[in-house]
Amino acid sequence: MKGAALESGKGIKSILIDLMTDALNNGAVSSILVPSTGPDNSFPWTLVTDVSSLDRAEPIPPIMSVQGAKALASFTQFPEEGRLLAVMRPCEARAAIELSKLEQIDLNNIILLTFDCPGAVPLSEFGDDGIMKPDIQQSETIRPLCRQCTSFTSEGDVCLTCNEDDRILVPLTTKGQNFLDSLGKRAEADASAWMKWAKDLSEERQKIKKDAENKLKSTYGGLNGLAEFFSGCISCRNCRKVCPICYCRLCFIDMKDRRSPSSEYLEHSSNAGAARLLSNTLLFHVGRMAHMSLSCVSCGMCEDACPSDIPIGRLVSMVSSNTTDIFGYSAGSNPEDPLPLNTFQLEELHEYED
Amino acid sequence: MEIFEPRIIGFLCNWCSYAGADLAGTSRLKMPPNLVPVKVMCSSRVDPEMVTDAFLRGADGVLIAGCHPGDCHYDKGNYYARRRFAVLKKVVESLGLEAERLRLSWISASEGARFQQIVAEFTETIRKLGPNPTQKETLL
Ligand code: SF4
Ligand code: SF4
Ligand code: SF4
Ligand code: FES
Repeated sequence: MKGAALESGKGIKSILIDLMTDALNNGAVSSILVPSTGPDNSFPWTLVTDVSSLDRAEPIPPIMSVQGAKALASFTQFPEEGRLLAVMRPCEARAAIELSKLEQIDLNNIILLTFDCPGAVPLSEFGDDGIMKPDIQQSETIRPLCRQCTSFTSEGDVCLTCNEDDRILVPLTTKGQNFLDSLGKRAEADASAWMKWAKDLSEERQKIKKDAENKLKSTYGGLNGLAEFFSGCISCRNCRKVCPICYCRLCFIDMKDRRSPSSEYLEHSSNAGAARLLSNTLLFHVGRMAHMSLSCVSCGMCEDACPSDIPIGRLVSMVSSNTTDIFGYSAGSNPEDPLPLNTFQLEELHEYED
Repeated sequence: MEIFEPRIIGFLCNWCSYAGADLAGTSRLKMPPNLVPVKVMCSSRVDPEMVTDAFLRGADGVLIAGCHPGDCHYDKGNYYARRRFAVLKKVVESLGLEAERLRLSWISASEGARFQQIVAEFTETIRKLGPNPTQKETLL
């Protein structure tokens, strides 16, 4: 893999800001979607059209505030005459690609720029006094799903890679290549040292991920385990609300959550000794996973938003590893791969039918 | 000892499997009384959420039955249904729940006997598994 060599040894944030400044100044793009610093250590997404506003840009904030793909999905088609550069984490870029397959984002005039992601700090541990900086070398500070993330780089159209002192901008798609061209940069630098770093770390993480998934399954697998897992769930549905993939205006559970005849609960109660109210906790979570686990990008946003500290993202991500395996699919990695539920083969899955 | 009579929900596609069930009836085939049929227009109408709901509300088994591949009234519905069913089964299995309680079968309008045989066989499988434990779980 080759990319354009940028200023060696320079901080990643400064390099990203230089790139954004260049891109706006020379008209390669007309606007930029990037988090900016807000009051009290907040990092809202901002649509920047004026170079001077880039002072406040914080392309790699310590937390994930809103999943970037959700920010991208908040507007309709981007105008032909402009181009938007979206600077986001790899899992956010993957969610954006999933959402474009789900016809919720039109990526036509949008360039996704990613970087080697250091992970994010859990929202609950991030106060507005002590900033915890995520550190890829010190995994205990980053969120559990970040620690087991295997797609921490090289997603979207173009990626800023940082191995030791090398700073190489690697184009990943034709759009990414065109972006480099418009900046007058040529992909001539060899990025193989970075590739090796990424491959090694990814393999290491793959093991961590498998171990974590096995542990989760052995602790919470089965009906009792699952009931225990969700015993503290307060049915706020925050996990769905903040998830980039759950874009539905009306979720199935909102129809199921209407009042039911008391007889239904009394029957459950007479069988089980007592019946939980609100009901539908497991229905919501299992039904949701059946709907969207194929597209889960393991971004951890749901887990960050859970007021009950339920490791919901790890559970959905574990299930997602299994469901995507059926089709050899990887959510958001390749824009060309069709969504598994939008296509089929005539001869397949015979073990599931008779 | 009391014999456990499973309650099975069957989502049957209107054009094939429901007609197959009808044929089994008019042919006076002896049928276990355990299946409660729900008519759907196509196997692809069955959202995984419907199956999950039946399962968590205590159905001992859930059968989805549709036209044989190639015969769907809407051409490709059952191919999509098969993919969705595979995903649901995998979700259920990954969570350590009993995926054996879910079944997808293709039964044509002329296969009354096959319908009878599948229902009988599935009923026996479920009888061996015993009642769905969700009925005894408080924290659903
Ligand atoms: S389910 Fe959670 S981890 Fe998966 S995409 Fe949605 S928010 Fe991210
Ligand atoms: S759970 Fe299903 S219906 Fe609800 S928002 Fe997510 S994908 Fe949509
Ligand atoms: S965010 Fe947490 S508490 Fe709220 S519905 Fe999801 S799992 Fe339950
Ligand atoms: S109409 Fe029978 S499966 Fe589609």
